[in-house]
Amino acid sequence: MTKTYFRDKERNYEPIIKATIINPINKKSAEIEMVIDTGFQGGVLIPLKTYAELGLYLLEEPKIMGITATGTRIELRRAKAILEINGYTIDCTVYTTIGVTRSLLGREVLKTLGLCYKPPEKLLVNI
Amino acid sequence: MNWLDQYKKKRTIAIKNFDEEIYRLVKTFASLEGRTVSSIFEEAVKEWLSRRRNYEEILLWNKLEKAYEENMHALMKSIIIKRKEKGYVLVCNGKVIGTYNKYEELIEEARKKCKGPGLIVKIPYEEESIDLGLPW
Repeated sequence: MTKTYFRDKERNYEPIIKATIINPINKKSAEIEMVIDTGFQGGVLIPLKTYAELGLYLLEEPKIMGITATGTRIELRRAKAILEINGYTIDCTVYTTIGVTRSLLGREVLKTLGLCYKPPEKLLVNI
Repeated sequence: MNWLDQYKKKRTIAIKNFDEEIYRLVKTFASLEGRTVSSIFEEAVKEWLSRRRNYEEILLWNKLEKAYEENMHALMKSIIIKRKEKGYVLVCNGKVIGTYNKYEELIEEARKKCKGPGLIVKIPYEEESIDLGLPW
């Protein structure tokens, strides 16, 4: 099964990764398709419904203030979870808040796994 | 019963500047139907809420919020948070369960003792912020 791919056409090579989030307390898990977002500092951002279904509220950390690129401050709930990507497992922080419709995979996970966002074709400019 | 459904409490509220004619109508209907005024207001407000775009999500958030606030309140009034030592504090069901040096020890204890929402706090406790990038 493809675990990572780029969604093209109107999405401009949107980087997608499939990963499984596991709650370490009750072992509940869910496979989720996430957009790799290098603008997101945290681990994984998921919709509130998914967060609740996984039972991540069973052991949360204190809420944290998220700051968007437009300066808006948003209160985030967060909990530690296990993230499984293609057989590799790592500990990561899962975040949620009201209004999240798409799941994001942020820099915390990219850094831990040594992943980087690589465009699929050769670069058109020298940078 | 799911813990999410256990926070049903009644409270007394006062509403300023409410339209008197509407109130009188509600009272008359309540009398005719053998109901209380509050049950009619509850029904009307519930219907209004159910038409909100993200009603289910806000409902879920509020339920989680209630449990979180109880745990946070218990943590803040405990003396543990004021100490300068390092480690983790476990709070469940509005009670501080204990402090632990290792995260793994805390997880084991949480599995045994926490039946509802729990909170794990790294001490010394500091408020943090995080870059979200663009709104999703």
